Amino acid sequence: MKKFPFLVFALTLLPAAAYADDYVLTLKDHQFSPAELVLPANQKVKMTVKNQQATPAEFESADLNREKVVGANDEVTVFLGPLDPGTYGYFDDLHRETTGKITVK
Amino acid sequence: MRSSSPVIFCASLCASMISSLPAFALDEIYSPNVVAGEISAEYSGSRTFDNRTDKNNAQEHEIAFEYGVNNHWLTAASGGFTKEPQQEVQFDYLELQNRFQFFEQGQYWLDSGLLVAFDKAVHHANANTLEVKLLLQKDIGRFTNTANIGFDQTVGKNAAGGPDYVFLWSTRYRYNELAQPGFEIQSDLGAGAALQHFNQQAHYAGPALYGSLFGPLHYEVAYLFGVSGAATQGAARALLEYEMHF
Repeated sequence: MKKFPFLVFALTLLPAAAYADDYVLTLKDHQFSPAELVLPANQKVKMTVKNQQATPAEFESADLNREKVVGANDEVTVFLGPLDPGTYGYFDDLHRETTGKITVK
Repeated sequence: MRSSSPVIFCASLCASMISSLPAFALDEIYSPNVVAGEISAEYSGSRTFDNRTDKNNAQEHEIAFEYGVNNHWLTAASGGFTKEPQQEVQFDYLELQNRFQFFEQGQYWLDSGLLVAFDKAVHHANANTLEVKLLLQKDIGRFTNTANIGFDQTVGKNAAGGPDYVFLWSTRYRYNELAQPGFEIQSDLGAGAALQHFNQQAHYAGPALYGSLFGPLHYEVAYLFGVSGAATQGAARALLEYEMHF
């Protein structure tokens, strides 16, 4: 029982797997680019979301369980996966008409 | 024989006090992840259901305002109202809560964080409470599993006993943004000797539904069944949160 906190702490530091290459998602003129980002299945992915706009944005996805504010002309790192093959939707929560999709193969 | 009478009296008194203690209030199950710059106004409430009038219709209501200071720290202030069975609702406490996200979401195998809250009792006869919880979350496919493990400890001049250990668990299936069905387990493990006896602890389990309406309006509803001796037959909780960004 006394070892439980240490076990939990160790789990929080345990990397799931090596990251696949970095992927970049750019937001400009209220459009995500690329419109369809293809990611590898069953791998941990490090994705950079770049907001090249004068206003903040929020990368959000119920499919991916992610919600991250990106300041104006700023960027954030989003760790994803490992993901099953399929299509995952996302949007800018501050401009909900701005949407995109990630295809995992 | 005479010497045993005070013992029997004290045991009877303790038993009656335990049976009339306020029921364990279902709680929000917190994610370790915070969103920088997000302000939210939140209502959460719970109530018990039981055939026994001294356990039925205990309520707790909380109005909270939260602010994500940065990617790793969220602070919240709230006011709580409680109602014991067969009594009226009363303003009970003011709470200052801080939640800390340790690492980037998804960076490690398990997402983790810490909740520290201080409840200032409004009534002088009541004790203040310190609440500490380890917040854990793990996504497996479209399932999000969240655990809160910690304790409540009364502090200050009216402090008595404790700490009181709690274990909260939720699993939800991220079907879509609107509706995410799941289930919750909420356990008040008690303090001291109660930790050894399942039926002196309050354990609840049952279905829950989570989701967002119209974008910024987040909701959670759950009805849990009491599954141990100290639990009520059932308890329900609801949460409504309106999110804004600055």
